[in-house]
Amino acid sequence: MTAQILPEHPFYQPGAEIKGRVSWTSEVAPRLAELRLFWFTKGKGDRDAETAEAATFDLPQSSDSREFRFRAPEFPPGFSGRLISLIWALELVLEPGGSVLTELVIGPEGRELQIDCPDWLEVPEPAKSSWFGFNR
Amino acid sequence: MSITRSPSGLAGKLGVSFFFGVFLAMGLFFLGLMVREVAQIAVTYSWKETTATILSSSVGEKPGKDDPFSPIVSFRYQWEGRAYTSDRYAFKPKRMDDYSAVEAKISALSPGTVTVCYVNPRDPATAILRREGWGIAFFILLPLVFVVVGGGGIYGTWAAARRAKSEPLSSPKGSGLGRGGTLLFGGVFVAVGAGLLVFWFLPAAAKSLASTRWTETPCTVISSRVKSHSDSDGTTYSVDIFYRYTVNGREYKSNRYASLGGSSSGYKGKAAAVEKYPAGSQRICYVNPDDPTDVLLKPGVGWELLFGLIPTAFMAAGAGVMWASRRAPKRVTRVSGALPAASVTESGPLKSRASPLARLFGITIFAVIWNGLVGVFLWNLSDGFQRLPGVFFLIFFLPFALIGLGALAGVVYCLLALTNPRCRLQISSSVLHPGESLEVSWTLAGSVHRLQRLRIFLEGREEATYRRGTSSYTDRHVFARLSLAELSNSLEMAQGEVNRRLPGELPPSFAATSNKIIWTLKVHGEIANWPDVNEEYEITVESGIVK
Amino acid sequence: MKARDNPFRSECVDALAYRAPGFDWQALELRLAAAGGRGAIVGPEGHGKTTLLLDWVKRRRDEGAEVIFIKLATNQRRLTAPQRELLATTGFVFVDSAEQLGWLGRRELLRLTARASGLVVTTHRPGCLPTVFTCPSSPQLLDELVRELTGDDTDCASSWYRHRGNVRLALREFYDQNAAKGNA
Repeated sequence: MTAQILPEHPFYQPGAEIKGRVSWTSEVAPRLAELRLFWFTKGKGDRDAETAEAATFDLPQSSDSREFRFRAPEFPPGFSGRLISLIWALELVLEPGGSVLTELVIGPEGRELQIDCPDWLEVPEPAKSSWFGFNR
Repeated sequence: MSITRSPSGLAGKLGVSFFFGVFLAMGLFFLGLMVREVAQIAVTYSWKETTATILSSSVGEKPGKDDPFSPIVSFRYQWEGRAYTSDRYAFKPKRMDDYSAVEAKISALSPGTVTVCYVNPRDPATAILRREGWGIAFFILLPLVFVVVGGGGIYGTWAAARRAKSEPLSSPKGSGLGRGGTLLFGGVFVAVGAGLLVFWFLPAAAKSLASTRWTETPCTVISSRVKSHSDSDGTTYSVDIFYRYTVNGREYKSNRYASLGGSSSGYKGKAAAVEKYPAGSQRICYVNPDDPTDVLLKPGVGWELLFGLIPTAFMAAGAGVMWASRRAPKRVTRVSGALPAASVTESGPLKSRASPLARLFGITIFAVIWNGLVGVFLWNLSDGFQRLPGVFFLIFFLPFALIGLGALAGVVYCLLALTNPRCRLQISSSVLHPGESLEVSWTLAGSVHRLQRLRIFLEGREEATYRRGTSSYTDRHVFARLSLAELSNSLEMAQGEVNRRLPGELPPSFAATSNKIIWTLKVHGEIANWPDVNEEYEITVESGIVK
Repeated sequence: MKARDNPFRSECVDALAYRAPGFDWQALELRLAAAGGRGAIVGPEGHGKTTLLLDWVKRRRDEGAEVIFIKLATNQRRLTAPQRELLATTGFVFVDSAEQLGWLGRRELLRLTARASGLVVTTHRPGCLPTVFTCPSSPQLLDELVRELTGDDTDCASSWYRHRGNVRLALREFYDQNAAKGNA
């Protein structure tokens, strides 16, 4: 199976329209062809994921090409920190066949929020004022 | 004010309710038993007093029983012109393992003595010589602690849930039990501690101390053995030395060894003590010059003085809770007029994630239960603190003792922290947006002058949880601490407000199963050589970007 | 370094295939067969028990076998109702963290899987079922895993010893070291 997801571009502001085209070629016509707009996390913790929107293509052929159109969700924006990256993606699922995935960026001004900005650490970590003043 | 709360589902509440329900059920069960006991005692106080003549009296003994001794009396009395005899010493005569205590009871009841008895007017054939004291009524407080904890816990669990549903989040937080409940709870602890101290520890300790000045008297050991007591908890042992001695020409018998006796699991210590008193040997006993039935083989005090810590800990914990409830802030009405109307969606005092009182309550309960269990354990294994346990035992015991000491230190810490100034924060909007102005006003109540420095800042952190096998790891990383106020002047610290424009690009609050972005407003006040003020208020930052 | 670029992020660590010196799938299958199709993978925390079990699950599924995989929660003394329903199978049952089960829970697991074609559990100590494999750990193993994740040759012995052979903790420490490199 070969498949491609071709969005117009990979950067979107919340609320913007995400459109493009998907195409696939497989040995048999898939029973199910679905394109999902979803987010997932990468990083030190277990993966969380949630689908925001999905489009099912009717009567998929073994070799096919379809257009898609989604609205970029307002929340959550894509972000990256030391422990967590939240990534938006489009995933084409063909059954039988498998799936392919293309990452997008959905965030303010079409950028991923960076959450490890040194300028934001204006206050040092509260220090122990004495042996007694440990932090709760 | 919008606050992100951790979910507390029905299952969770039911679980907590079950936990407190067990407390409540146990408390009610034992409360019922004790109330029944007290009621029976109370009935005898309605019985009529009349004169009685003692026909015979002796110390009854049932060998082989754990409590073999009891007063055996027979007396004659008259009621409405008719003569009766009775052999009931009390309504519920108790058997004892202390021969001297029984002998003391009957020493004033020699045959021919005219004394007072109490007749049941509904059944004149029933009469007793002694009514039980009201001391047992005090012990009702013990199951009452369980009832208060259990009932209060269940009420708090469901009341808190109702509040969360029915009240706006800006409503100030009250204690789960309310001030009256907290006072009652603390009061029960103080009363139990005081009762134990006054009725149990102090008399025993005073007697132990006084016994060093009692009269040395020769005695003859009649029998000596290590007595074993078996029950569902296992076998415990006690020193059982029966001896006779003579005071003013009258012979007395006793089996008292030391003031704070009792049985415990250690055998060797008792066997060593018994070896020193073989049957038939002549030894010295110590007789109270004011009461020849009051006697000991081993005078003085030792480790048992540590028992005084138990009632003291109860009293300290109770006093702390009561004092804290006195300081608890009164409920206040919402204040929002001072804030710019344009940005106000909802405002009110923020709630700290954990109140100092709740912290104290939690650590106190833990410390009392933990140290109680460890104390009983140590008492049993050290022959009632009569001897030092072995090195192996000390090594084994050390971690438990350290945890107990840590818990006590925690109680002290939380008690001290209760004296800290309490902060009430209010912010301009329930939801923060990047690039907007954030207006925070605060009021510190209490001894603000003790604060050396006060910092108020907005903190953002990532939290990621990873589970593999049976292990679960949660990592936290603070990525933002945005300063709102940093003050060192008492007047400025006591009350003030600050307006700050947030950076135009901030990650929003986010909570998935394993990954979270959490924003909190933090108040940190430094106090020299004292627990710092550390309050945390969870808030919501929404996504957006402002240039 | 951004979380998404960290070579020690959870998805990469979880994707590492199980390995150990002298480990051989065929020998493992033979040992399980010799034990009557019911056996335990044993080893301390962070030695790869779950990784081996998940790899085994995948192999069986790839072979087309009916596979039931149950992951027990911390302090789960008894099986839950849905788990009991799942165990009424003639397929192959894999249970992660069987040491969590109490005596009754273990009896229940053995009883309910009586008709299953096989049962493999992971556990910290031997005893529940015949041990078919004990997961070893070594500094060399950690070196190899780090090489696969980063492509670099690193001497990880000190980290391995610091974490007393717990490879998982060592890899998490490497995550932090990488995360601290530069700003996201």
